[in-house]
Amino acid sequence: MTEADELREEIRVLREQIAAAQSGAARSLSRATRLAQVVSVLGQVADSGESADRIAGEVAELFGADIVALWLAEPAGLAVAAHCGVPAADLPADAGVLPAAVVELPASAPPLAGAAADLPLPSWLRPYCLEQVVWARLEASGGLLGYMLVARQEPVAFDGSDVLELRAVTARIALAIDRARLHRRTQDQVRQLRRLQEFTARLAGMLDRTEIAESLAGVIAAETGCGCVSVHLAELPDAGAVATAGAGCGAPGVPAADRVRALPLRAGGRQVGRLVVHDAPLADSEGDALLHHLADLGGLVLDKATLFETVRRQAHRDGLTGLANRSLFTERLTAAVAAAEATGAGLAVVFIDLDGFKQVNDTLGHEIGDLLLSHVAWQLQAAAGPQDTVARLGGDEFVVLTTEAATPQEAAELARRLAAAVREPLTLAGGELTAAASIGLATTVDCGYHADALLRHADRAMYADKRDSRAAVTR
Amino acid sequence: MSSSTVSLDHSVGVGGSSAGTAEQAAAEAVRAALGGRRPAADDLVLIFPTIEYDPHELLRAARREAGAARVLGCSAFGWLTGAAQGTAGCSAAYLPAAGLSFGVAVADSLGTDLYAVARETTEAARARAGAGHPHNTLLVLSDGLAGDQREVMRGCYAAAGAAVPVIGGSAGENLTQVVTYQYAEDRVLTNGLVVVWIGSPNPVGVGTAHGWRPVGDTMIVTRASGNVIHELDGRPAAEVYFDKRAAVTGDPSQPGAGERFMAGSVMDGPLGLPTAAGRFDVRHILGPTDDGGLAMFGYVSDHSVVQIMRSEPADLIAAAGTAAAAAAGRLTTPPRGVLVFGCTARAGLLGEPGMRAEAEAITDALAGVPTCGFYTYGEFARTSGSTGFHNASVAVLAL
Repeated sequence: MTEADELREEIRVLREQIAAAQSGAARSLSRATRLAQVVSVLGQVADSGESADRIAGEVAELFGADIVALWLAEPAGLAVAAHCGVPAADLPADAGVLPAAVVELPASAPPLAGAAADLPLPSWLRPYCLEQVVWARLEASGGLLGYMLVARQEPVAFDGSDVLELRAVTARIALAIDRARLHRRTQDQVRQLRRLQEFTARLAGMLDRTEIAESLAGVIAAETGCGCVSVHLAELPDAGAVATAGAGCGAPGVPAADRVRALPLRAGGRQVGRLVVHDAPLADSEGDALLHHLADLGGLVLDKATLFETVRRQAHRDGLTGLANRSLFTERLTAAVAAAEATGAGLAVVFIDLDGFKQVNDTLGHEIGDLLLSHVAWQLQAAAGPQDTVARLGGDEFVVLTTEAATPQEAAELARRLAAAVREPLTLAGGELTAAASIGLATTVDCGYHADALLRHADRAMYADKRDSRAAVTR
Repeated sequence: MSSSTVSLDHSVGVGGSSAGTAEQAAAEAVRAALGGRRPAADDLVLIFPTIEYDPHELLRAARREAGAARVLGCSAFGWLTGAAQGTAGCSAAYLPAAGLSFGVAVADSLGTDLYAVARETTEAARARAGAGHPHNTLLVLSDGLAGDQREVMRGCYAAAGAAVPVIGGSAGENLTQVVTYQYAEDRVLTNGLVVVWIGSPNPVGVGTAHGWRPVGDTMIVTRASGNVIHELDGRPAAEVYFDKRAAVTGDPSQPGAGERFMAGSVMDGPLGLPTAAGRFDVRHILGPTDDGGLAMFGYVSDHSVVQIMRSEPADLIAAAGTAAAAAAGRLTTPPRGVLVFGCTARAGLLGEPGMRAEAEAITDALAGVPTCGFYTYGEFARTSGSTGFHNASVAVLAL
């Protein structure tokens, strides 16, 4: 070896020594900052909503591990949540089952660390030729969250400092998972709240009870997870459900009795319907509270719709006979005239005024008078076509709107039928009472497409008829 | 005599050419790799041309020569075989199946979710290779300009797992950072990923080394995002880097505030990150960022400790031999051939004489086994640990 070679070798050795010293310092510093790196990475992972696999990957990288797996406690038992180093395709069906020695680790126990040969390991990890492993419990304030395995294929032991750091890392991971779960739950609740707000707003605008029942059943099935939801209306106690929803509807078999619940739909102390649910949420659970809330809401909205229907009926119906009143008749006449004008079709109005009705009231009393009016109303309704509108304008005045009688001849025929109908006797305890009426007819052929003109013309025609005929009320 | 004929038939064939046209370069390299053998459909022909050739012409010529074999490959900063190397030309390797099973899968675009694309492509390659092989290895070629190659490795690892070694490189070009090419399934891709799942009856060897050593003070990454180090020790990263660099090189020159510098000018002083296994991962500097940060070849996380790395040509060359010996050391049968994936910066620093010495160091370590490879924009090599992305290194596959 020449002197130059010796010098070169000396320089090489010196350089290596310096490098070794410096790399030792770098490694020490690197280890000192490793926990900070984990915390930083966990923050990024949690913020970006990435999976537990990402966390496992970062831990594997920072601790020079080949496999990092996380098992999390789920309602159905332990389940693999992350498996860095083990492809999903290679996970066995029972990968959630951990060795007893791991599951039995007591709370707050330090991680189990050592040679793979001396520590418990699921059999499906054996082909990975693991040399060194660490098992740690994941714990949060609520108790056990799961377990973490960190394993190396090279025979490089996890030293005391590694294990200490892994314990801190495990605590951080548990915190991150706990936080992520809480975050997810909060987000889910916020989303559900929004959906319920939208539902409430939609419901508030509904007046059709069938539509309300269908929406209510749909939302309860979707939000509470009930297998089958049905809504029944109080006024139809024996009829079937007016609406049903849920994946379990129509499923074969009888649902378990303890999971079937009937809730009244009430408002202001009045029962307006009934809710029947299968697979109801457990009592006092969040789902149960939501179910009751929706039942209360449904009761109020159904009651409002019922009230609306009553008011509408009162606004459009004659209280004594149940026939359309003047307001509804005018509304229908106006609409029918417009529709007929658009197509060139014909329509007719028949005016009927009872003859000598005042005399009935004066001699037989108002009760009998009312009975006679109801009888005439019923007879007119029976004689008119199903599409015709029969109305009581007031007192003893009736009017019929028909779009079925297309020609003046057909209209005259209807008028004759109506006159005959009025004459059908009313049977009373003491005999029979027969009404007579004066009748006036108006058609679009005579009056054109003018609602007022039609009614006026029919009225005049009726008066003309009254002049010509003689009222006859016999007993 | 018959056994030696069989052995010869199964050996990896290699060839190279620095011809001026794409057609000639590809044809010469592939023809030399085949050495008169007629490939079967199960065989592979790998090509690693430098960027200046028309990629379509080159692929057509390679396909013509390769016959029934599948042609795969990618563009390179430089090419190498045991016999010749250069920064203009094409290398080719012929891999007869001969007991191996090659499951090839290709992704046309790595896009923005490199992890997912790499995982899915690896799963497809695995399915195509079929099950039941005692040993498996993953060969990966990616677009070197696609972004964080660590994500590619993570995706591959998710699908391959800890039992499967990984090897490969990301496609390079001539430092213009405009485009790289990947070749597979008779197509030229520009943002692609090529994954080959190699099933084998015997272990396949993977080795890697870099030959860099840490010098000077350590620095802590106090702010980083992705592959950009914004701050070192709480100050703009470029400023701190050049201060420390001056201290270890004695070269006081450094760019002024806001002045651009080229990756080539700092190639001799990459940053090293100590690993849990007691080694250093090296990351070259790509260039400055507008906020005084350093864009790196690869991801660097917050709170990492970094150190400037230095090397002598002899160390780099010796590392190539170390990597080759490590790869060969994992074999249980005599090697049939070697694939080499070397960092572009090594070729830049070593120059052509150094590239030749590097190739010799590899063939010396493997007793003259046929050797073929290219200079990459990032090397893939994983035998242990969950990461397999390297920089400034040489990665070797011994078959």
